[in-house]
Amino acid sequence: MKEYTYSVARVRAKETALLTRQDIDQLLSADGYNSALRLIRDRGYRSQDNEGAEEIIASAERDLWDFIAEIADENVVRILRIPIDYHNIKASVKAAFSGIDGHDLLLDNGTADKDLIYSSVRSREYGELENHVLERICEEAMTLILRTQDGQACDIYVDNAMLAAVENEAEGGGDFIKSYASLMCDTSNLKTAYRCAASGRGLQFIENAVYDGGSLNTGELAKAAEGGVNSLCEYTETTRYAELAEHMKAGAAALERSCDDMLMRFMEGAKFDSFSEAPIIAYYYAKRTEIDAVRLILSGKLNRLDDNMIRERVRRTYV
Amino acid sequence: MFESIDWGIVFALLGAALASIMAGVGSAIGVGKAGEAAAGVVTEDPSKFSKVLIMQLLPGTQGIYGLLIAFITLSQIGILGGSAEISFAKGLLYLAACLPIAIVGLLSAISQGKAAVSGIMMIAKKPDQMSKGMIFAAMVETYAILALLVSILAIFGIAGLNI
Repeated sequence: MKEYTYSVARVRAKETALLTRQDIDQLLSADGYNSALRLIRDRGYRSQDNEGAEEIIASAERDLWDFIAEIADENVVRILRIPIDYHNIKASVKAAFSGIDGHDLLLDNGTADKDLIYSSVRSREYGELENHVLERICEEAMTLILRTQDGQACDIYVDNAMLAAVENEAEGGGDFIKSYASLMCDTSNLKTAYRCAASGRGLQFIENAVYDGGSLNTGELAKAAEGGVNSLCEYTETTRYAELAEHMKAGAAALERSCDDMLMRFMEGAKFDSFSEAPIIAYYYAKRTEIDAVRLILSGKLNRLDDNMIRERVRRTYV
Repeated sequence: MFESIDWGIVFALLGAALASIMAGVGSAIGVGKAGEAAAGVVTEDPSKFSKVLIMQLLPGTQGIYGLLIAFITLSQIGILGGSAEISFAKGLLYLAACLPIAIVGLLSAISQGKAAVSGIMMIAKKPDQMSKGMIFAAMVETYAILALLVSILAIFGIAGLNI
C-alpha cells in the first residue's frame, strides 16, 4: 500500500494552525461581527483589509482544496469530491425544476465541472458530462422530480446514489476509507430513518428512503422507524450507535450534531497514523468543519443572533 | 574447476559483504523514510530544518555498524593485506559472526526509520518535545548495538580458534 509520509508530515505541520475549541469559544464570545472578523484574521484566515467574511471563507476553501490536491493522489481525493458532485446535481435539478437561477448554490471541486452539470440538467443533454454514472443520476433525478413533483423524493434518490458512489469508491481504498464510507452510510441512514419516523411515514416509503448499504441491517432499521421515534431509539440502542439514541430523543438538530461529532471522533483516530492516507482525509474533514464553524459564527454575529444559539450549532473540533 | 577454490575465504568475504549490504540497505530505507517526513515538515515550516535533520540521521547508524563489522572482518581474514588463508570451518564461522549485525541492522534501521518519522511529526506539532522524540527513536538503537557487540566479540574470538 502506498505510503504518504511526506504528505502526512505536511498535514501535521498544518494541523498546528487549526482552530482549537478555545479559539472557537473566543470567537463565539467576540463582541460583535467586526471583532470576530478581526480575530479570525489574526488566526491566519488570509484576506486583505477590504475583504469581508465571504471572501475570507472562499479563500480558505480554495487554499484547502489546493493543499489537498497537492499532497494526495486523485484516488484519495475522489472520495472527498464525490459528495460535491451530488450536491451540485441536487441544486441544479431543483433550480431547473422551479425555474430559478441556482448557480450560486453550486460548489467547486467536484469530480465533474459544476457548470457542466448545471448546463446539462438545464438542457437535458447529459452526454456532455462524460461520466456515465453522473449522466444517469442527473437524468433520473430530473425525470423523478418532473414525474412526482416531490423535491424530497429527488433528494433521497440523489443522496442514496451519492452513498452508493462513495461506497463503491471506498472499495478500492484502505481500511480507514472503508470505515469512513460505512460510517457515512450508517449515520445518513439513521438520520433518514429519524426524519421518516418523526413525520410518521409508512414502511414502504422508509424502505425506499434508507440506503441499502453500510453496516446496519436496513430492513430492521426501516421497521423500527415505522413504529415512531421511540421505537427507532430502542432499535438504535441495540446497534453500535447506541450513543446516538439519546440525541435522537432531543430532536433532529441534536442528532445531526452528534452524527457529525461522531464522524469527527472517528477522524481523530488518524492522529496516531504517520504513513497512510487517513491523516489527509482527517485534515480535510477537520478544516472543512472549521470553515463551516467560522462561516456560522460570522453570519450569526452579522445577524446579531444569540451566542448560545450559535454555540449549539458549532461542531466538535479536531484539535 | 570449483575443487581448486578455497571456500573458507569465499564464505568469510560473503559475511563481510552481507554485513555492509544488509545494514546499509536498512539504513538507506530508514533515513529515506525519515527524509520524506522531514521534507514535509520543512515545506510548511523551514525553521524546523535543524531539528528534523537530527531525527533523520538516527536510522543511519546501522549502516556504519555494518561497515565497521565488514572492515574488521576484511582485516581479520587477510583481504586487506597479509595471508588470506582461511579454513572452510573458519570461513563459515566468520559468515555466522557477521549475520547478527546484517539481519538486526536491516530490520532495526527500518523500524527506527518509522519511529523517526513519528518523532519528526511530533516535532511538527510540538517542537519543544524534540528530545522525547529522539529518545523514542534511539530506543531501537539498543538492539542494533547488541547485535554489533555480538558480531565484534565473535569475529575477534574466531581468530584465536585453532580449526
